[in-house]
Amino acid sequence: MRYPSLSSYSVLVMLVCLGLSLGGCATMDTAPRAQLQAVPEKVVLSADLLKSPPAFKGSGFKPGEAVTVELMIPKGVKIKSVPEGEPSVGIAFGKANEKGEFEAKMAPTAIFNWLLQVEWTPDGKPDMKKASPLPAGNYQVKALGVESDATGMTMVMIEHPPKK
Amino acid sequence: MGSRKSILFFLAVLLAVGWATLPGQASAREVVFLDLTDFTGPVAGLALPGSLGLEDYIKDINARGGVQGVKVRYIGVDTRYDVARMLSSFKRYRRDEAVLGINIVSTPFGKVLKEITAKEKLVITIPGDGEYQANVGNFFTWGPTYQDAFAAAMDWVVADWKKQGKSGKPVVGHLAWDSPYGREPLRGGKEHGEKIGVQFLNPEFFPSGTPKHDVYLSRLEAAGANYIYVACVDPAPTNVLRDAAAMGLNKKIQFITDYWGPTALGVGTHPEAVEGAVVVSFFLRGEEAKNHPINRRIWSTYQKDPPEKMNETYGMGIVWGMTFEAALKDAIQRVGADKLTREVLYESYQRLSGMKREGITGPCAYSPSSRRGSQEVKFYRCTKGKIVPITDWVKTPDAVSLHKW
Repeated sequence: MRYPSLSSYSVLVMLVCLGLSLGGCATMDTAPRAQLQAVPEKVVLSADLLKSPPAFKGSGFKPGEAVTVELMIPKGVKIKSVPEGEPSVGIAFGKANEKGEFEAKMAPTAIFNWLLQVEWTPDGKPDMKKASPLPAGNYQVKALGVESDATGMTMVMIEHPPKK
Repeated sequence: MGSRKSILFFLAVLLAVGWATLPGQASAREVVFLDLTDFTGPVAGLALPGSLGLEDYIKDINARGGVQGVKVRYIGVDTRYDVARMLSSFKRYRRDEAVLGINIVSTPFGKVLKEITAKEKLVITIPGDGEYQANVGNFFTWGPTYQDAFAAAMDWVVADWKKQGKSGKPVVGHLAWDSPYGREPLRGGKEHGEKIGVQFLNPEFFPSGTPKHDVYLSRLEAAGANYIYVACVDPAPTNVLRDAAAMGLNKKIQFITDYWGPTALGVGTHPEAVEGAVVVSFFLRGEEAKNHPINRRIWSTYQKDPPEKMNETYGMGIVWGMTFEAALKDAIQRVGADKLTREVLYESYQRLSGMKREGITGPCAYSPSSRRGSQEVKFYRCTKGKIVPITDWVKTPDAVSLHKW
């Protein structure tokens, strides 16, 4: 059996490696970088949040795409109804404008569910008595472009109101 | 020679690794139905039993060997009626090619997804927003649209008015959640009602979670309502009926609720308050649902509680499963198990027109020009703590086409 010359193999190997590298890149984390800002950066957990909900703004997203804002769940922190091992929970969403900028406010359901962590009564009302608010601390928050995968990160400090 | 063999070996390994990392079609042996639902949260009272019915029916499919050998995996995400959580979960599973169908329980989230998925072809099953029938695309409603059911209720109102020998026009008030869902019945439903001789009052809308509804009820009473159509998700309609009963309004006004009105949940908690209320439903309710042989068999196989504990939306969830099974079977027959894609399933859903669901709902009405899950409703009346049928299946009018979209 005759084999092609080694140099032909070398070319073939290089081409295949190049192809695989490019293919592999598609599955690697090569998301474009975006910017994210939390407004405010410090959130005190109370029912007052319903009047002035935490908000987020960012840039660097694909114009017109939906952007999801996710609270990264630190190890050991339990979020009601979110299975252990899920890395994050969506807390807000918005749509990027023509410049790729977005703004999003947390909806009342998100404040109740993910920050105050209430239970819901059979009548469909939030039960604050059975709430187990998110532990105080610094949390990473990520904004993710639904189409582009563009990712922006920021930190939010969660505080509990002083005990009376 | 040795180096050439090494290079060949190296190439083979590289190709194998590369192949494994490339995205491909769904595995031929397992597909996923993703359910973005509420196991807890404000509408869990009806969403959870529906999702349990779907999950149990999928277990039953697999116990029967799958659909022509293809197993179905149910993934349920508890979204607690929060659109941010829904969107984030959708994003997480969007590129998983095994996910062939998606169920969502939120009208507002449907409006977000409509834009995101506009350039794709996939199946998203959803409650009854008429917009999806007006502009056919990826969204397939579970039953008749909200306005079609409302229009059928207006037909019932006119017939009831005449049956009582009353003259003039029946006066109808609409009392609903202040949301796109709450307004939807009027988009075409109002036009149908006016066409058949109904006089409408200014609608009243209230935020979900409202503890008392006296203000809205008082305004409708003062304006002269003979009938009040209530559109919110149980237990909210039960609470409206409770407040109406406390005001004595149920003695002089006929209350009708949409298909998210009292189920076993509401009738069980406030039997006296809901007495006499009429419910328009696209799925079996009351004892009819609990005694239906398929509902009962699936429940008894997979749930620990006795069938008496079954909420009627459990049967609706079974119908979601039946419909998915039929579409998957059609898809496999057309292209083979190895070539299943979301688009193939999307085409199959449109080929289910006329498919029977064992009488748990009316026959399937999906087609290339229809996204209605069915076009039939039944009327029930809350009577002595039970939900009793007062009509057979009735065809719903096409109210969607009466609205200017």
